[in-house]
Amino acid sequence: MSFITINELTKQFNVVYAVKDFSLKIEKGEFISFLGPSGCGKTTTLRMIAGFIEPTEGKIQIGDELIYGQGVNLQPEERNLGMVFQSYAVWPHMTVFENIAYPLKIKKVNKKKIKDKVSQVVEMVNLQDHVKKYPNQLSGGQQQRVALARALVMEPSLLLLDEPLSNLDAKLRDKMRAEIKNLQTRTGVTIIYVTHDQVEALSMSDRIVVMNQGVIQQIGSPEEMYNSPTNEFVADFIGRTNFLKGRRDGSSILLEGTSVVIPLPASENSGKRDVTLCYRPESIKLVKRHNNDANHIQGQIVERTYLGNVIEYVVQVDDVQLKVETADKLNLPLQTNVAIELPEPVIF
Amino acid sequence: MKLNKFIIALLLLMITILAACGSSEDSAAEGNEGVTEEEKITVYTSVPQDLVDEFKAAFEEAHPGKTVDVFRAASGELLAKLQAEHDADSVQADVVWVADFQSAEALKELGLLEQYESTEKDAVNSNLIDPEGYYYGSRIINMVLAYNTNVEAPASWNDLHNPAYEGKVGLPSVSSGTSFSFVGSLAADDNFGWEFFEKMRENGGKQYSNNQDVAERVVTGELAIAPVLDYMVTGMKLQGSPIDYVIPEEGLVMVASPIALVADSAAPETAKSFIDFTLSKDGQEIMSSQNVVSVREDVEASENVPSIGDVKILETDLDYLDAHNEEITAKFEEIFTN
Amino acid sequence: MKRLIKSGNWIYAIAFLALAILIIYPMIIIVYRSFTSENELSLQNYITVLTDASMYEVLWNSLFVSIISTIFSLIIGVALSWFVSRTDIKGKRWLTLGIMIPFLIPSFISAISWRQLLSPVGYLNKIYMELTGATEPFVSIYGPWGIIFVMTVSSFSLVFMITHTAFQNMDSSYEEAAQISGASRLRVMKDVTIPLIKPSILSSAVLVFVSNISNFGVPSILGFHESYFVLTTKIYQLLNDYTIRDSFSIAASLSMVLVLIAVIGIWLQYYLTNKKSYAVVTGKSSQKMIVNLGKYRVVITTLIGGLLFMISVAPVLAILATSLTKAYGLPPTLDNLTLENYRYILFEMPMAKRSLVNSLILAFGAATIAVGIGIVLAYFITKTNVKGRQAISFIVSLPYALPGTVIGLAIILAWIKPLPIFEVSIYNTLWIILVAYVMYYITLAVQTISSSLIQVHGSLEEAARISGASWLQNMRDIVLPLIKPGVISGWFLIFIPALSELTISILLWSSGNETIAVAVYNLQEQGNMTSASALSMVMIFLIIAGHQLSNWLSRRMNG
Repeated sequence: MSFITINELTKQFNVVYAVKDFSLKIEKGEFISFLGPSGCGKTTTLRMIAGFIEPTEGKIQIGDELIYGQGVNLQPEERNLGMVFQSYAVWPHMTVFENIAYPLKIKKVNKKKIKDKVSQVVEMVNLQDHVKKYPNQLSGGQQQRVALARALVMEPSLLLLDEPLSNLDAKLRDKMRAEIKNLQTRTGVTIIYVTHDQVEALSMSDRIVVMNQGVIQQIGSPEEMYNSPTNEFVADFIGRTNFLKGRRDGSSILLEGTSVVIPLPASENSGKRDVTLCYRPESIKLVKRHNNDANHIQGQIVERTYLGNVIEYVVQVDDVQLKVETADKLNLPLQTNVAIELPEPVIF
Repeated sequence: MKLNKFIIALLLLMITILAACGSSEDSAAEGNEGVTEEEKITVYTSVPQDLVDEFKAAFEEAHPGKTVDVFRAASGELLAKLQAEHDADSVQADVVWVADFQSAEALKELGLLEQYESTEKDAVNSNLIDPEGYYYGSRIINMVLAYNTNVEAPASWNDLHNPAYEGKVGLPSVSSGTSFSFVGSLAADDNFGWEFFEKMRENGGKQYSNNQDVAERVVTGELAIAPVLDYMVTGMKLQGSPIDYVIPEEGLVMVASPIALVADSAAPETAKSFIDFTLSKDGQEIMSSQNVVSVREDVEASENVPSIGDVKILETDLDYLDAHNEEITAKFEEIFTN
Repeated sequence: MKRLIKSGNWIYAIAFLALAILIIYPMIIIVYRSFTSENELSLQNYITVLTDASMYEVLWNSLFVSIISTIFSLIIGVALSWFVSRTDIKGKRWLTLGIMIPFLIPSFISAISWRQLLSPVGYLNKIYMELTGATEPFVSIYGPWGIIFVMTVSSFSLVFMITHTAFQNMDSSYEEAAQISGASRLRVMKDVTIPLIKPSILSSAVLVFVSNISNFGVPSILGFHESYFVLTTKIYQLLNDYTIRDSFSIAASLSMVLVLIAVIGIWLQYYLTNKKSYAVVTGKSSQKMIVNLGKYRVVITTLIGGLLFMISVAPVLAILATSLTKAYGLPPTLDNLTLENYRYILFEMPMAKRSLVNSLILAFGAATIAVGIGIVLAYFITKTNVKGRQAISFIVSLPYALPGTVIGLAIILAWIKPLPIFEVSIYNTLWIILVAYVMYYITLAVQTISSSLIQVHGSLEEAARISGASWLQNMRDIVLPLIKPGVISGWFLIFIPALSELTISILLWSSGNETIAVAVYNLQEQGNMTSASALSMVMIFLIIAGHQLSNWLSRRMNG
């Protein structure tokens, strides 16, 4: 049996579904991200797990304990979870030590043990020099570490993180990302991580749950998400993608707005219908000379953005524009006539 | 935690103050204990606090074991409170002692009063007793003409029309019962009539909320002359304030303040004995010593007040006042609020 | 059972019970009475009131003085709080004290003392006539403009207090952004600063407006003999008129007009603040932009300081002068000076001392109970999403709009009967006054605490819950410490006026249970103006001392 089982969790506000039929099994020690645009229901789901929002329907089980469903509804304080909030939620009237010690104080742990425990987690998050300070004397990153330490001090079986890095600047974000991942490896805690940032999700997670409009779009590893999105939404949301319209006819597709015909692998079933093709910009090859291969298509560079390690081009092919990313060795000026080589597409 | 400290600090402050004043608190509390209901009465009154305090002290001394609680307020508030208690069927007063007959009439009509034949009945001027026996005039107060001693003393009510005092004349509103008697008496008198008040208004006359307000303004000089109750003027004059009064040549308006037994009193016997004491010779001598005119002829008047027998009195027709109650109020308002 | 205790529902239950018993029950009595004539349900009272042409004039007067005085209070209060919080004006602590004193003096005392200064024979007018040889006084305090003046003086401090907090919590970057965009300082003020603190301005406006329109002392002292009536003085006159039967019912229906006006005001505030969301006050501490007054610094400081000195010290001096003279009406010359009045009230008048103790107990009790219930109600209003929760803040604000006399009478009707179970009546005890004060003042607690609670971000509480804290532990460890400043200011906002409350107490006091204001009023009613002034001075001293003590305590608490 899985460590956490969520069964058809639904939250309805009046007639609107904030979350609908959310089912998920999580293994112990897993790092799961809920990814999606704002309003997709990821935070609502997390808050239902935490106990701040009462679901309309469904069941949540952690370990052997049913925490919601079948008439059971444990209060947040009865669920034994750790949580880190987007706004840190570090209590301004308590010192760093008092903040971190609070969950233990509530549990009536004895003073000596509190001290040991706190200094242990304080060390873990690298705040040894700041225990006596008040939150307003700390930087954003330090405050977030206090929040993290407070969530970890109870050794919760499950740690909930609600966009914990979105208030930090880019550099600090990278650093904290690594620290969180590192902490998880060391403590072995199960994490549910809510974010709208695909980079965070891709870089940290064992599995990602992509949501949109309250419904799960896809569940899978970062690689699966990136390479085999199951629908247009996932493809669009994770990474950058060229979407091309086309008309399928048997074993080939005619790209709309162009005269380009793309042959399909034989195994695909035939039939006439409108389709969408996805190409990742970095998967498209750019070549200088025209090579009369069926996959080589004529185009012209109309935009060029230098990004350091890569250069991004926009290539005009008949009436269609394609984003193409190449290593910076191939440095081409605007207006250059080029040929492009398309990989095997993901088709919806 | 810190909030607690703060509240504790305030509490300590309170306790300190309480302790400082504790002695008076305790004695007040003790005084009320062990007193059975029948021995304790509550008097609702609009007579001055000093006066009623003297009566309370003298009565309690003369009747050991009996206690008088006093609630004093202006007539309007007193009647409003009594009315509310009456509406709730829980009148708390045993005795009411108001300033004028109209207030007593209003209470009588509400059914708040009970008839009682006082043992002192025969000694009291019979004009001051309700023919049905509901209330007794217990003191006489007079509407006289007060003036600031820095201006020339007036002689007649008609001086209220004198241009020399223009803009500096006024009188208490008729919501005060004594003023109502005064206004009603003059309005019904052929020599004055409503014209008298219209002329006063033309001379810059204004109405004030009550007698006390008028007396104060005469003292400050904001008003030069004004009709007001005699004992108030005497009181302020004796303190040293620049105020005095004359009895106008046309005569003063006499008002008797009635005392009455409240219906269904919980301690009727004590209440009755308080009324009797008020009307008794001993009681009336207290009146006299407080510069108030007595209702008994066998009590000598204070040197600070003219003896009632010597002065001219404008006649007050109580039946007329009663019958024209609303008309008088309306007419007065019409003149003085325009 | 354990669950019930832990969830804090029982605390809600107690608060709602208190709400029902202390506020809704007496309110229903007033509303019911307004629809009763001769013991039968009817609209007769409303017909009487609405068909009387003079009532419309009274209504207009009420609106006129309260709206104009509210506008003046807003202009002065906001300007002062801007100067104190956003400029380098000198002597901020003294200025703040000068701003607070007029608020600390009860408005009826303020009206009396301004009358002593600015009546046609007032001290200031006398000095003016003396100096210029004029025969006419310079200005008279009587009539609508005098009422507006005293109301403004008594209420601009309230605007200052509320907007001062907002200025301090506001992030300066909004202003700086406007300045960078090329706006002048005045434009920044008009286009950015004022709109950003609009919610505070609006809530103080409604508070000032409602308390001014329900004020009785000022219009009765300064308007009566000019025949300038407002709703409260008209209601008082009705109640005092024994030629009218059922006067309380008519007064109750006229009071409904006041309630209606207050409801419109509160609704307007609610509507205007809720249209946009203001996520400006974050609690994040940031650098404040301080305007350098430059060469005007001394001039402006002197000007504001001087004016504040005038309006805060002059009336106190007037009362002091009266309290030290041998008899009222004598000029305050050396010959006429005496301390006799103080000796009299402190040593010969047991009622004076008793009333000081009573008022302290009442003000302390009312403030504490109202804040206690207010915390729970405010939490319910701001932190839950129960439908119709806003109605509570509406209901508790209604009594504040009523004249004290009407509250007093309603409380008599509500509480005169012995309580069930206990078989004792609280009538004729101190507790009935306490009950009335709680009913009347509770809205001040609910409002100040609500606005503090709004600023406590939900995640702070959620962090506590997830840390294992129960509802009660969360309240005790997180919420209460965070809203402490709001709780304390709410407490004092009730404590100070309750210490000198007059119009409610005057109907509810009983022998041994007098309040200070009742004692002052009784002295004055007996013509003993000098002793009344002496007792007023003691009361003012107590209030100012209490206020300074609270400042000192809260400064110490905040480190």
